[in-house]
Parts: sequence; structure tokens; C-alpha cells
Amino acid sequence: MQYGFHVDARRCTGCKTCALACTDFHDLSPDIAFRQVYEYGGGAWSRGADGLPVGSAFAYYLSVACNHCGNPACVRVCPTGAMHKDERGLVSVDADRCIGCGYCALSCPYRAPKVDRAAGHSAKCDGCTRRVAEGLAPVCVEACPRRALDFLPADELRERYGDEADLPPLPPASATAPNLAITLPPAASDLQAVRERGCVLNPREIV
Amino acid sequence: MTGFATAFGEITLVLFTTLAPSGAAAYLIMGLPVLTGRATGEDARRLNRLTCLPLLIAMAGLIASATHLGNPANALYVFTGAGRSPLSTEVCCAVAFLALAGIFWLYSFAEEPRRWLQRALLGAIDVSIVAFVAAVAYAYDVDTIITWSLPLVPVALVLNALVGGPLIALVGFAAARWAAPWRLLVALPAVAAVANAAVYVVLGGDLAPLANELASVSQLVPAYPVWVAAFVVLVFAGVVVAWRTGRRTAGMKEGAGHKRAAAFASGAPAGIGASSPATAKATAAVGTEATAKATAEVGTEVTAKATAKATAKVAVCFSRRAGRRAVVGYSAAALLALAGIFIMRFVFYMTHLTLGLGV
Repeated sequence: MQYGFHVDARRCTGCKTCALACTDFHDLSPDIAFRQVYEYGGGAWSRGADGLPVGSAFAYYLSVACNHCGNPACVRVCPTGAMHKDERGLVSVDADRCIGCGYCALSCPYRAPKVDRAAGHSAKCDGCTRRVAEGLAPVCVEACPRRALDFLPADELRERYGDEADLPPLPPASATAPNLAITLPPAASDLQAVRERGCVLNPREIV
Repeated sequence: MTGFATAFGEITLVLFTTLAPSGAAAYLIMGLPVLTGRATGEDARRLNRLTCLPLLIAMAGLIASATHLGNPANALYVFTGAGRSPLSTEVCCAVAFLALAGIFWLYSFAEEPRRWLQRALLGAIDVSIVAFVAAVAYAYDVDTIITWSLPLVPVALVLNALVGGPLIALVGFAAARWAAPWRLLVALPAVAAVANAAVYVVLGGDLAPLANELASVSQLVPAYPVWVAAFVVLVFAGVVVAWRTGRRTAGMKEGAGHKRAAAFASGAPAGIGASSPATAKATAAVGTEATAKATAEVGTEVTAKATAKATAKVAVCFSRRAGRRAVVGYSAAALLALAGIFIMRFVFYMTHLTLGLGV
């Protein structure tokens, strides 16, 4: 069994309700976030030969949490086995084994695990595994006012939403095999231009 | 955004990776006279006891690294990840080295230690040291961390150990008043420092174009060449201080066997670099008490036959005063080199950058 997230980058407006609900539900401190929303954009307006403005500007939002990867770097490097995949394929921290070394946080290309210094161990999105066990969706999925998030068993996820998981600012999916399906934004029709011109526009919001 | 906060957050690991590999390399070097049988009797006893010096330096690094753990109470679980997690492998190698070295040190206080057992222990310790330094070098070689999984990163750390290790070993040899081939032990870090500086220059070129979606290396480590320059200045200052210390103290012998002892200390046939077993056993009991078997007396000519039969007293050719001066001088040299290594270890943590979003 393996669960995964779907993010619809055409529907997401970057309202951050998902991040807010997550922070509230898990009672996180301001320096820890399990889900974050990246504003990604670039390009410019210029004047064409006919004197009319020509736009190459683009922007989209991407809500990112742990993608409960098939080949998770955090699990690979964890010295104690505290970082593990549970029976639903969700990557979770066993606080009774974790030494708080932070190796998981250093190695994750999605910035998912954090070290909770006050608690003395790593902390991360566990896919709201207790809610899922009760037949509920993760709180971020339930909170999204645009229904841009979903959470399903991986095969159902792929069937319904495809298997696209390569979209800036995310790392190449080949690195960790994320269980993530993205509905690409219109700008992604020219991915090369997105990669060349785009950047994270809200870096100071990122924890 | 710079990598200073990242490196400062991992300052204890900076300290660990500065001290532990150099301390381990120093231990290996200090054990060679006993391992190869060139130091015996009282010399070996003194050398063995002073292995606590590099051991303490390596332990200081390990203890420093443990302080960054959020929950050390779960530390025993680390052993379950050996071979799977690079960090576990590193810790297992460290524990093997420290445990064996601790046992060896305690055994050095035995009234009649068995030489074969000591040499066997030293052999095992040396294997654990090589494994430990390699494990530290590859501890952060994770494919998602693009700045740390470069081929030259582990090379730089091994060279760090070859720069710091011999200089620390010189302190230990001086404290034991063992006439190690100081020219060799200064030349080794000098050559290693040149190679290390070259590696850092090339590594800087490899790192420069690297970036992810949130930062670039040039943002994380502004003025990389300045950091490398500081490394070069400090490390070569250490080498120069060690060289001057060696030159000054090599001539400070007691008794009439000065010339022999000076020649021995400065050169070829002595200690680690010795090539002839007969030479290794040769004696010139300068500044020490002669044992029953030791026949060479200060101020007398020693025949080749007598020299071959005599026990190894020749190595102890420092006077106590010269020994103290050498300890101070070599300590200063080692500290300078370690300061240079510390800077580049700090820079290493500043460069942390993953694919995608990790900074």
C-alpha cells in the first residue's frame, strides 16, 4: 500500500489555507512548516515589432509537503531507522528512535523534514496518518478551498491524475521517486522557458 | 542568504570533522615505532602512554559532535544502521577506533605488557583508523546533496587528516622524547597542504556553477577564494613553525653523543623512516638511563657489533628541555594547521545545497 498527494497547479491560487490548516492541526511553531506554498514565476513584458506589448511573464503556485517518496533520501540516510515508511507507505518519524541529528533535513530535496530542537527529534508531514486510518483525508486536502489537493492510493492517484511530478521548483522526480501527481499549470506548456526564466518569488516566506 | 547560519548551526560537526580525522591520523603515525618494533622497552611504554594525546583530540571531536544531537538517549539505535546509513557507518568506525585505542592505552600501564598483543592491537587500531577516516570522508556523500557528493569532497577531508595528523604526531613524539624523523613528518603535511590547497581550488571551480531553486553556491559562500587563502596561510604557517621547531630542537641533545643523536633525529635511519633493522636496534643512550642490555655509553665509540646487540635507546635523544620546547613549537604548528582546516570545514557546511529546494 502506498499513498500519494495530488496538486492541481491550475487551480491553486496560493492562498496558503492548506499550510495554515496543517500548522494549526499539528500545532507547529512558526519555524516549522510541514506544507509550504511556493510562488514560482518569471518572464517579462516587452514591446513587439508592431508596437504592441508581448508578454512572456508567467506565475503559478505549488503547494509542497512530504511526497512520501518511493526512494526517500531521508530514510536512506537516517542512522537509527527512526525515519521509516509505515504500512501506508507514508514516511514518518519514530520519535522514540530519533536522535535529532538532522541528517534527514539535510538530505531531503523537498525540504520536508525539520528538526524540532525543542522536542529533540525530527518532525515532518506524516500524511495525517491517524486521520487516514479513520477514513479521513489529510487536513490540508480537506482545508483547500479550491479543491486543488487530493490524497489517494498511489495507483488510483496515477490513474486519475497521471504521473507528472517534474515541475520547478521541485527537484527531478528521478532523484527520490516522489508519490506525487501534479496537474501542470498553463505555463508548463513551455517547460524549458519556465526553467530558464523562473524563480521562487516568495523565498522569505519559506521555512 | 548565506550558508553561515547552516554552518554555524552545525558548528559541532565542523569541530568534529576538523579534530577527529587529524587525531586519528596522528594516532596511526604515533603507533608506527611500536608497531614496526623500532621502539621497545621504556621508549615503547612512553610512546604507548602518550597515544592518549591524539586519542583525546579525536574524542574531543566525537564528543563535540554528540552535543548537536537532539536526543542522545536514543544513540544506541545508531548501530542498527551500520552499512545502510553513512552516518551510522561513521559512528561505528569511530566507536571501534576509540574502544580499541582506549583498551590499548589502558594496557600500556601493564607492568609486563606482551609485545605481540600490543602490536596486534595497534594493527587492528590502524585498520579502524583508515576505515574511520574514510567513513568521515564519505559521511555526507548523498546523491541529493549536490555540493557534498562531489568526488573531491572526500579527497579534501583525507588530505585534511594528512595535514593535521603528522603535526599532532610530532607533538606526541616530542612529549615522549622520541626522535621521530621530523623532516619527514614536516614534509608530509607540507606536501599534503599543497595538494589540499589545489583540491580546494579545483573544488571551488566545481562548486561555483551549482545552484538550486532557492540559492546558489556563490550566494552561500561569498568570497570562497578568501577562505581558501586563509586556509593556505594558516596551514603553511603551521608547517613553517614545525620546520623551525624541528631545526631548533634537533640539535639540542644532552651528553657527548650529540652528533650521533642529531644525525639520527634529523635523518634517515631513525624511527619510522629507518630502513635497517640493525640501525633500529642501534643505541646511543643519550639522555636516558642505560638498561642492563644497553651497552652504548655516552662519549664512547660503539662498535658495529655492540650496536647491533644493544637495545633501542637511540631514539630518545631529546633532552627534557628540548622536549618541552619541541612540544610547545609543534603544538603551535598543529593549532595553526587545525585552524586552517577548521575554516575549510566551516566552508564545507556553508555550501550545503540539495537538488530542488534544500538549503
